[in-house]
Amino acid sequence: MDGDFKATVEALIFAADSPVSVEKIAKILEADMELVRAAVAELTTDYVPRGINLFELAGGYRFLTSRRFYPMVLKMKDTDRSLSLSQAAFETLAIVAYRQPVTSQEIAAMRGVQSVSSILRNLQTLELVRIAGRKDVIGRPMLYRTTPKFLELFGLYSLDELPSLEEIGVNEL
Amino acid sequence: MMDFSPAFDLELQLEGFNGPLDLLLHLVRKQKMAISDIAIAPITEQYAEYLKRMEELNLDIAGDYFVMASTLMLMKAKSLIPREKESFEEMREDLIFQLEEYEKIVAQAAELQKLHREAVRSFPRVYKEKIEKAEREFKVGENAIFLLVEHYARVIERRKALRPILIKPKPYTMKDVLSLLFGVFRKRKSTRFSSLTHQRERGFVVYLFVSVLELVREGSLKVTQTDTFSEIILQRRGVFTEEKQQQLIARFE
Repeated sequence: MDGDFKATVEALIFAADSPVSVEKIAKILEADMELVRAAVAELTTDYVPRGINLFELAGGYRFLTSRRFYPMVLKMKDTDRSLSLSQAAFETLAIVAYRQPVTSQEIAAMRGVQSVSSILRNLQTLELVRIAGRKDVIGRPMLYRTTPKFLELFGLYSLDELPSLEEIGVNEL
Repeated sequence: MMDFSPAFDLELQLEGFNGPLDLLLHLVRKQKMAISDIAIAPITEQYAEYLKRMEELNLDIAGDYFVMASTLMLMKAKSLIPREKESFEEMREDLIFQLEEYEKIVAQAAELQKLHREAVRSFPRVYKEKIEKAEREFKVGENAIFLLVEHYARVIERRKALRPILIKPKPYTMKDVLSLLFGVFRKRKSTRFSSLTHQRERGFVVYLFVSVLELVREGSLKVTQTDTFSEIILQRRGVFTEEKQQQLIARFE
């Protein structure tokens, strides 16, 4: 592979503030997607022993510090990107993540409470959840989905990577 | 009945429930029952007992808990009436389904927490450190500029409100102002208001004006002004005797 091409891909990913997709890189560089994919694969390998690794997140790629050095980096940064969410908020997020698109009423029913609207608003403000249209039933309630930022903050490339119930260890009946 | 011996974990659990289903699941697990084997009557009693204990401790109980309590009680009532058997079985099946679904949600929520904890172990090049959490409310969209102006105005207002107002003691009293007036009218019968206020500060002028009004009301001064903002002419209507002066001064004290 052309060393400069790989370096350009590296530069693009480094300069972005959020994960960049192979499609986007290919478009910018007017290059073949397969070529970009190969460059990304090589970069990933190159970075394995480094303090910075290349992560597959939210449909794209992003440079982040290696998880191995978390304690030391935290010492310098004072805080990581941890969300301070209540148990109820995590349950609500789990329902949206695993059962999307879903309405506010459906979430409330699953949690056995009357309303989850304030939790949903909070999750929206944190950009973890977004409104994705309306359900075609009486009242046309809004449907909620997770966002790319959700995938990023939970270390996922796509929703397909959400662990299944078998993987978690709950028996599906 | 429920075991309320000291070993009971009430104290630890009170704050910990995330809703009625969470509490119900806890009660089922305590019985070491499978969800599908849930016995409605004893669970209803235990659930109600829990709420009662929470009330006794003056804990705020969300309405959601009471909705579940009434559902359970309705089920228990139905279970005792033979012709309601079918309806009862249906409700019980629904509850079992709801609990089983909820159990999955709890597991999935725990899994998400695990994923998140692991994901935040790596840091991006830059990120909005603590601001992300603390400034949550300052989230702007398309109308960003208006919000910005609004917030700016609010900050300015707050600053204004915080700025202390200095109250300087006046170097003169009403008595001083009156004495001055009396002095003027001892020598002459009339004077222009402006001749008395010349080079005086606003506080003094106000004091003077108030004294003039009082003297007019009382009948010892006559005031004429031909036009708005034109000169005010003050005319004495009688003599300010020593006695009368004391009387007027006393009125302002």
